[in-house]
Amino acid sequence: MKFGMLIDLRKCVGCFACTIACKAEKGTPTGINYNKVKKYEVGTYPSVKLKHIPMPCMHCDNPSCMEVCPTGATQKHETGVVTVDANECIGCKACMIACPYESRQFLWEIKPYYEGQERTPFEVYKQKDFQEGTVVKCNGCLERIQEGLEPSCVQTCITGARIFGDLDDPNSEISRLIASSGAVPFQPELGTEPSVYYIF
Amino acid sequence: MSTLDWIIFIVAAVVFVITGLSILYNMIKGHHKTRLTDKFVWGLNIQIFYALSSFGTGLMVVMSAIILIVGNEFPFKILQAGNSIALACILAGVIQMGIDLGKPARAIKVLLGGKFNSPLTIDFIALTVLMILSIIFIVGMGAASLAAMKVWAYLTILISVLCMSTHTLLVASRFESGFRSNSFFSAETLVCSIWSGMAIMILLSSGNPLTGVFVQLLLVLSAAGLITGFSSVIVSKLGKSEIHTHKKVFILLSAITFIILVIGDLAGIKQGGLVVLACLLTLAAVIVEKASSVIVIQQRPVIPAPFSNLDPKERYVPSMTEIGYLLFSIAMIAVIPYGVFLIGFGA
Repeated sequence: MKFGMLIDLRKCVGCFACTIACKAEKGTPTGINYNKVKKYEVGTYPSVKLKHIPMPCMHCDNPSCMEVCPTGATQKHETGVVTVDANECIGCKACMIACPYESRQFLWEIKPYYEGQERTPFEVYKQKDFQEGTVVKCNGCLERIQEGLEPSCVQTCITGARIFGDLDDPNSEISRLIASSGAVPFQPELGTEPSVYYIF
Repeated sequence: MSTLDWIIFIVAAVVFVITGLSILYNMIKGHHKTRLTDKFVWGLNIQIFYALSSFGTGLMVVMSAIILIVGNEFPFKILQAGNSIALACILAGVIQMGIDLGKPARAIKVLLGGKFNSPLTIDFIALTVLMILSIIFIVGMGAASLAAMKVWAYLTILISVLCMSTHTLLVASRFESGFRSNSFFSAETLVCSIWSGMAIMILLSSGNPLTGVFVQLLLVLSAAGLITGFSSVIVSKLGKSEIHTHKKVFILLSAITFIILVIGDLAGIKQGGLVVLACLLTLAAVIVEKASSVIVIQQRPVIPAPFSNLDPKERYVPSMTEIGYLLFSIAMIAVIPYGVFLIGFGA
């Protein structure tokens, strides 16, 4: 199986449900957001439009972040998902410089969400594997994929703009849609061979 | 040592101890007092790491070249002092890099990871080898044969240049393709290293008959710095990229250094205030170039337009903690060479 995601930007309404679903699923600390949705404008005044583009980790086939990692903390899982082992990461941030998609963040500090209060039991439970001073990123909801589920951002998308599937299977929905719609990865010219495709 | 030397040494030692304790604390507790963000992941400390390793590796290349050209005829004491300064620069630089790690205590994993295609691993190994080479020179090369010194020089040149090129590789991904890229970046990195090394050698070898030749070589290297900097501006203009202030300052400093050295050459001045000024301007130009290649490249959006047009504009200003780390490095560069002298290797 090879992890693949297709995002149909024609269907994306910029509701940020995927961002929230990701935060709830992963319990990411304050300031950490694996599933960014970038806003951008197209057209010229007065005929302008605000558009959105979700920018998750592209889980590249040739990930530059993995190549530069000096300790081997960044690995490519057999499903194609790119992961970071917090126990191996030294926090050098070379991967953040190398990633052309801003997919990685540095966990400077784990702080409670509610100022002046302790972390909630939910936060404590969800954040038990996070380590300050390491680099964190989307792991493609690997634990969900291994259970046969879709990543939470895909499951929650209200317009069905995100399709998840196996890129190795030519008969999978995602493979057929990529072939028929002319979907393309973001900045394919960089040679990182992203596993996330977009229909612009 | 003179009274002035003692004053410098004692002040540097006090600063070294005070800032060293704060560094130790931060290395154990992790660093949260910087102004680094997810946009500016590397700041003043990595800039200084780049600058100091540039000085150190450049100086080692220059010393190796001197050994290969004039052999035993060049005063050993100057080479020994040069090696102690190179060692101090590289060690202080490595500590700056260590402080910048999120998990400094795990730094040994760089060696254990076995990722030899990672620029950081190559850099880590190269800098360690260079420090060992400089210690070997300081401690054990006093009675060495010319052949042994030449072997040392061959190794040092190779490892130093490897180290310089690694500093291009580490940030290579931030340079875009085509005309928007700075194809002169590698050349700038190499030139700046050797140029700064030559400047330090001139400051060290004042009064030596060869200093005049070094000053002329500094002139050549300042021209190389000026033209590679100028060429990178032309590339930016062709690609309609922004030409930032740091690059303009670098070109200005290179140009002033070149003009000073040309005037000095025409007037037959081989040492003195004018030459010292040119050397100091060289070091300043290299520090500015490192700001350009470490910090300024992070100002540019990683995601291309139009997708990044609405991103908030961030600026990086170092915190007091980061400035404290810088003071530690400066103090270390004074403490180690004086320490080597006091222990007696330089006597």
